[in-house]
Parts: sequence; structure tokens; C-alpha cells
Amino acid sequence: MEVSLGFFVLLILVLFPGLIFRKLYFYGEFSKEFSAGHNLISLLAISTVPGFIILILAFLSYDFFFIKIDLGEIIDKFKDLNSPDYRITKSNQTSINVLVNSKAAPFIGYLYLSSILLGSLSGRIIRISRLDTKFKLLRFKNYWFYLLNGQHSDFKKLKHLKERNKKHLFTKADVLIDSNNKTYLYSGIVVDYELKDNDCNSLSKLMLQNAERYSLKENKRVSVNIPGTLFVVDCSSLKNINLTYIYEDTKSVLKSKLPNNVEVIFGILIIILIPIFIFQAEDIEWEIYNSYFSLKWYEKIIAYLITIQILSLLNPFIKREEEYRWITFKAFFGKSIWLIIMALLMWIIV
Amino acid sequence: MSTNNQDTTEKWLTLLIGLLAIFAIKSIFENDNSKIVSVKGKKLLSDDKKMQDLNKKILKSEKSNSHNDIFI
Repeated sequence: MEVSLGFFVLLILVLFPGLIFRKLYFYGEFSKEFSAGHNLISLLAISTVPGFIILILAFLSYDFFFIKIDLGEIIDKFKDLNSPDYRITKSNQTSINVLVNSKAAPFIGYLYLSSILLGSLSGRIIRISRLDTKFKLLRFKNYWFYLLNGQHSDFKKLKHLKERNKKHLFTKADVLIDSNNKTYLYSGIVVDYELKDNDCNSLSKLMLQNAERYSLKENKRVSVNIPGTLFVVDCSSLKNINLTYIYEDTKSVLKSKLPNNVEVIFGILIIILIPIFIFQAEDIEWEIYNSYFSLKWYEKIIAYLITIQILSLLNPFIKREEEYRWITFKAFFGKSIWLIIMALLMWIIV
Repeated sequence: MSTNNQDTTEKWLTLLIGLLAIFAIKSIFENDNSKIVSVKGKKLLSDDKKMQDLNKKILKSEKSNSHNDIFI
């Protein structure tokens, strides 16, 4: 098999970063989605889309924040290397070793670091903001995850199941298993589950705590406790499953969805602000806007942090030990002090 | 002298920004809500008395044939 220089570059700059991104994007409960239903060729093919996006983002940010990249020089070098008459040793240009060590390697390192960071963070940000329950495009294929933690009620089609002011604790499942033409009914709290290796929509195993089995005694259904800490149900012959959601009744604003929604809005605002602080719009002629873009990269980051801190002052909620509380004077004062420190830093360095 | 001061400031600022980035990333990892049993749910599961009360509620709900979600 002949591997051309173009394919090698594509592999290093697009396919590997794309694969790393996908592997880290599908984390935890969704890890099987990375390879389920894909062979090596299709896995490489679908990795090109995130690979190209990461390459473009890494190129723009590397060029903006660190070292200017001369695309013309890169294209010329490729043309030279692809020419059959070109001999590296006989040319008077900089040696390949120097080019790789001083120019290519730092960028490739930055590219791989970007793909690791973007992959690990983007999947988690989508989950924290619950954007996957709002938009089908972002939804993970593991449908059981949404069913077992009650987040299916955020789906557009199942909105009618949604109840306000409730917090999901866990789910109780009644599982009907068909084995040797006999049916068995098991019941318990779902604490974990396993999906089939090549199909992330099919349950393989269900781990139940406080498990019970049901049997018929004198034509009456009687529940019998199953001894042991954890009961593992093999779902290969699962007939049907009945889920009962256990919620914590929440009545105050603090225990409603509002603080989480406010946090999500602030989170999205912080992300939306990033490109606004990176890319300059030519049509805007404000003096403060143009003077911002003449700042050094670290000064720009401080300006961005100051903006985030000002925004965070508007958030009336604070999260402590998994619970939302109204912001205290102490916390508000702390945030203000941070803002003053950053403003002072900005004032000193500019 | 001023160049030296600027270099030191740059180093400290880079360190500060690095620390902030680490904390931001840490909080994203800690706030992961991709669990099928919540933190409070885990505490409840290890509390035998509360679980007995919950079982009674579930049985009551099953006997009344309402089969609605259970609130505690």
C-alpha cells in the first residue's frame, strides 16, 4: 500500500485530531457511541468533520495568539516536496528537520491539545446545559440514559410528561424477562446499566438495588425480596420494562429549574462572547472596541474575564453542595473584589 | 527595568489565567449531570428508614393503580 504525503498530512492534521475529539466527546455513559456501528473506514470518514473544524479553529487561534502562519510558505513547500525532481539535500532551503522541529511540531502539539480540550469539554458542556434534550441534532444515541434519569421529559415530543418543580432522585424499574417460555418479573431501583457493544440503543444488563422478584402464590402476585446488595438482570430476553420515577418535591424558586436555567443562560453567554472577543468586526467604529483589538493577547483575556465577572454579578443564584442558594452579601462582595482586582491589573498593564 | 517588570507581570498573568482555566475546566467536570442516580438519591438509597417509607409510598401508588411518579 502506497501512502502519499497528502494522505499522511491529512492523517496527522485532520483524522487523528477528529478521532481524539470524538473519543472524548462521547464520554462516560455515551462512550459506546464512538465506535458502535462503525468500521475503521466509516470511523475515519466521520472524524473528518470535527477534524477539519478543529484544524480551522486551531489555525485561527494559533495565528492570532501565538505565531503568524504563512500559508503561502506551507503550500510552496508542499509543491516542492510533491515535485519528482526536487531533492531536499541538494536544495538551499532550510532543512526538513529544522522546519518540523521549530514550526510544524509546536503547531501539531497545539492542534492535539485543542482537540483534547474541545473534545473533553464540549460533550460535558452540552450535558450541563442540557442542550441535547432541547435539540435532536445534539442528542446522544443512548436513549436509555435519558429514560433512566427522567430527562426524556425535556424532549419536545414528551413535554407533556414534564412536571414543574421536581428533581429526579432515581428510577424504579419493573422488568419482565422471558426465559425458556417462562416469564419472570423483577423490580428494583436502577443504579447502573450496560448497553450492548455494537448497539448503543439496546440494554444488555440492568443493575438493581433493593431488588424483588414476583411470584404467584394462591393466584396472588407476591413480592419476594432478593438477598444481596446488587441484582444484575440480563436483558438479552427483555420483554418490557415499566419505569417509575422518584422525584424530590421542590416548591421554592431555589429548588425549581430557574436557577439552573439562569446558570445555563450565563454559560451560553460566556461561550458566545468568546468569538466576539477574538474576531474584529470591520463595520464597528467604536473607539473602545477598536482600542480593545490593539491590546496584547493576555490583556484581551483579562478584558474578557472582567466582562464575565460583571455578568456574574447579575446572577442572583449561587451553587453550593449541589444546591442553589440566593447570593449572599459576602459572595457578592467577593465577586466585586475579584472584579476590582482584575480592573486594577488591567489598569496597571495597559 | 520596565521591560523586566513587564516580563514579570506577563508571567504572573499567564499563571493566573492558567489557574483560572484549570478551575473553569474542573468545575465543568464536577458539574457533570450524566448520572442516573443523583447525589441526593445515592444518600437516600443508603438510608434504610427513608427507603422503607419510600417503599410504602410506591406500594400505595401501585395499589391505587395510579402509577404516577413518586414525590418525596
